[in-house]
Parts: sequence; C-alpha cells; structure tokens
Amino acid sequence: MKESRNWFPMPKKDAIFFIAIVLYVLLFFLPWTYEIKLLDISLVAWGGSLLFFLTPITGILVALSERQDKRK
Amino acid sequence: MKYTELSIIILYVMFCIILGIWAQRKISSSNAEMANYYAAGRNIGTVANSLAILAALGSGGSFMAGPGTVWQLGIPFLSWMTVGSIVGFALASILVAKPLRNSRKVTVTEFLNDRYSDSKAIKIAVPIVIIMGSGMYLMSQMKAGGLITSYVTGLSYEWGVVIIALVFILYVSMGGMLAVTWTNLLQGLLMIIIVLSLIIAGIIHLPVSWIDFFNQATTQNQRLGNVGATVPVAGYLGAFVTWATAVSITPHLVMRIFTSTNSKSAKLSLNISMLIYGILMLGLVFLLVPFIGTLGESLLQNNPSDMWLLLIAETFFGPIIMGIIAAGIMAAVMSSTDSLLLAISSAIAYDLYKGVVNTEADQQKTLKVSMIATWFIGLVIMLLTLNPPQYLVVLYTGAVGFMVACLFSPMVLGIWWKKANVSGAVSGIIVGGVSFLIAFFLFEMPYNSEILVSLPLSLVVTMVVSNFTEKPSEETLLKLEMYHKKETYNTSNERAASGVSEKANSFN
Repeated sequence: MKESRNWFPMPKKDAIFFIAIVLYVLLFFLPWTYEIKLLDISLVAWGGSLLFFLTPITGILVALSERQDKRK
Repeated sequence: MKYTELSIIILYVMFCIILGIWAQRKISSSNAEMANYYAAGRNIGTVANSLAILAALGSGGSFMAGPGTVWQLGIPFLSWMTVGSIVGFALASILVAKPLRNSRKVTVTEFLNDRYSDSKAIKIAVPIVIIMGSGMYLMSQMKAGGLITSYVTGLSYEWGVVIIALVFILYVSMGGMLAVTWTNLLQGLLMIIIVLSLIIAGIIHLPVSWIDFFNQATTQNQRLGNVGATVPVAGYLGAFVTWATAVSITPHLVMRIFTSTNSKSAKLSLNISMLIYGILMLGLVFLLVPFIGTLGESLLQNNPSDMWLLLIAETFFGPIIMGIIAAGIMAAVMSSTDSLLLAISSAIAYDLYKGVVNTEADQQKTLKVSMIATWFIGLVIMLLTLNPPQYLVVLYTGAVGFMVACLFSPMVLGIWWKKANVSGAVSGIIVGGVSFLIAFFLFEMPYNSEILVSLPLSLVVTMVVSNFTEKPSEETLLKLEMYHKKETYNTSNERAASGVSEKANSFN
C-alpha cells in the first residue's frame, strides 16, 4: 500500500478485512433486516450470529498469509 | 452442602495454588523476572495462548450468565454484544497486535508512555483509568465466583465471596502472569469440554425436533427474536462498538499479545480463540436457551438468571458431572478474575510506582509493591462485592465503555497516525472520559449507547488538538516505524536473551 505522509501504511489484506467488517455491520444494522424473520428470529440477529464464524475464520486466513520475521 | 461438587472444586483450586507456587519458584530462579511476571517470558505458543485468551474472555458472565441473559434480553441484543468481542479480537489483530508485540513493552501504559515521550500526564491518567475500569469489571467476576461458591457449599453469598476472593488473590500474588497463563490454559480446556458436554447433552435430551423446540421457545417468549423488544437498536450498536473496541485497550486482554512468541502467533491466537468462543456461545444460545422455557415459572423466579444454566445442567447430569461443570464455571470466573487482578496490580506497581513515584526502583522492589497491590486491591474489591451495586451489569459494561472512551483514540491513533502527540492524546482521554461520564450519569440514553457519543468525540478532539500542536519527535516516529516492521529490543540483555545479533537489530 502506498505510504502516506501522515499515516503508517496498513497491509492491504488487513485494510480490506477492516473495511469489510465495517460494511457488513452497517448492512445488517440498516432497518431492512429488522422485520425479516427466520425461525421467528429477526435477520439482524442472524447477521450477528453469522459474524461469529466469518470474522475469526477470515482473521486466521489473513494471519496465515502474512510473512513472519523469523527472529523471536 | 453438595459434597461431590465441593470436593471437585477444592481439588481444582488446590491445583491452581500449587501451580502458583511452582510459577513463583520459576520466576525467582529467572534472570528476566519482570518479563516473566507480567508477560510470561513472552514465550507462549499459538495454541496455548489461544486457550489462555479463550479463558480470559470466556468469563463467568459470558458462559454462566449467557443463556439466562439471552432469555431476558433477546437474541438480537446478545448476538451483537457477544460478536462485539469476537470482532474486537479481529480488530485488535489488525490495529494493535503487531506494533504492541514488536515494541516488547510489558503493559498498555508502558506502550502509551513510550509513544507519547514519557509524558507525566499520560503516566498518571492511563493507570488511573485502567484501575477504575478493571476494578468495576473485577467486581462482577467476584460476584459470579461468590454465587457459585455459595451454590456448592450451601454457605451464604458473602462467605462465598470471601473464600473465593482469598484464593484468587493468593495465587495471582504468587505467580503473576506465568501462573495465570498456565492456569488459564487448563481453564480454557476445561471450559471447552464442559460447554461441549452441555451442548451434546442438550442434543440428546431434545424433547422434539430442534426446530419445533426452538419454535416453542420463541412462541413462549416473544422477546427472544424481536428487534427492539427489550433494548433499542442504538443499544445493540453501542454494545457492539463497546466490545469491538474494548479488546484493543483492555489490559487483561491486551496482555495476551505481550505473552505470545511473535506478532504472527499473537494474531493467530487472537482469531483461533475467538472461533472456538463463537462456536461454544452459539451452541449455548441456540441449543440450551430453549430448555429455559421448560424449567417452569416458579423456578425461574426463585433463582437469579445467572444460575439458570446450572439448573438446566441439573436436569441432564448427576452430582459428579455437575461438580465438574461447577468447577468449569468456576474456572471461567477464575481465569477472568486473575487476569483482571494482575492488570490492576501491574497498573499500580509497574505504571504508577515504578513509572512515577520511584523511577529508580529495582525489579525486586517493584514485584514486592505488585504483591502488596494485589492483596490491597483484591481485598477492597472483595469488600465492595459483599454489597454489590444493584445494577452491576450496567455498571461493568459502563466501566469497559469508560476505558474505551478514554484510551481507544490515544492507542489506535498513536499507532497509526504520525501526527498524534501528547496534547492530542491527553485531550482525547479527558474529553472521551468526561463526555462518557456525563452521558452515563446525566442523560437517559439507551443501555450502552453512551459510547456512540464519547468515542467519536474523543477521536475528533485527539485529531484536532494534535493537528494544531507540535508534531512528535523524529525519534518517536522512527521508533514507531520499527514497531510496524519488526520486533525491537531495548537493552542488550533483551537482545541476547532472544538470540538476535546486534547487527540484526540496528535500530537500538
């Protein structure tokens, strides 16, 4: 990622992951999810529940793809 | 008195104390006492650290009180509140894990001091915020410990609190982070086994198909799936934001980043622990919550909702398994309590005493102060927990929100924004903290939503003030740049201990 004068650069995958989380949360907090129901549970709750898996799995994949400085 | 359950818990607690004594001996024989005490020698591998993180987050509150709270406040609220901490660990792995781990600092305050050029205001303000916030958090854990001790011993709640507080203080004061890490490991494993057993037992005891059973529960309790039935949507978002941002600054969770072997391991363990936590919590919510409806109105009214999980378990298992379950829940309470107690004692001994009061203090003196601080704070919190405030859950989430409002801006902007300086950080802490307290105490805002006002305010003020005041020194920026790239060593001893040559780490 191109270095900014005022900000330290964030690895591209981390930045995409960060933006994706924010967009996902915004999407499910919009009112369209409130009245749609599955098993009598609002879609907003299912959106939160799905994130229980999506976030850590993506986080693990992002971390695994990172190169590590071998020195401890 | 439940003798079988009690015997299992006593055996478990004795094991933790023996582990504390072993850890103390190991620390005494080590050359790097401070790093061992507060950062477990920075030598905890990915799997072990994942279990320790799981144990530190999976507190009595989340596992023991989870199903009861879902029944009362509904799945939409609880799912966003719980997933807040799961997302929080992912955010921490993106926003703070690498620079924090690479800095080789021992506490949150030490890192902020380093970033903000050892400013006296930061040195004093940050530990005070941590002590206030973590202290309130600790009270809720001691309350859960008191309840479970009272459940197995038949003694009063007050005696339960006294007994369990003394045990916690004893082994934290002896072994520090090394003891906490190894007991957390065991506690993490125990929690996984127990929650999985409960989930499997739930599946075996399903009276009808799961879908029909779940539908019965949502018909019986209309609040379970409806949006806004118990808490307004702003409350969901507030709870989510509180926990999603809290992980990056909450000392007892951040300390787990310091204990890992390297920054990649820190990132991996943060996410692995959350995957396990997510699976366990979803299992509890979707499989066990419907059983609450079968317990009967009178039983629910005569027992606090925190105990409903145990009541469900009693319908599945006999005394031996119940003893192991009680020990597991105690493990959940214990693992959070000891991490919090350690975070508070390090804020006093390491940040306030060694950082401000007696900067010349040697390691032995600092560890002695830490031990005294552990006992003093532990006993004070114990006395306060004997008569807990009526709305403890509100206060403890408020305490976490208060820490976020004060510390998130200086921490995250300090790591990523080159212009963040001392004046901006101090202004951000003050504006964040004061606006949070005003919103919390003076306005009737939806539960947990104060953070939606105070966090943006703190971020804006930190940026505006930093923008119009002196830029940080070149030395500070160079140091930060290194933290973003690789691990640094402050002394030749540290470097030698890690086996890296002088050349390989030319920055210092």
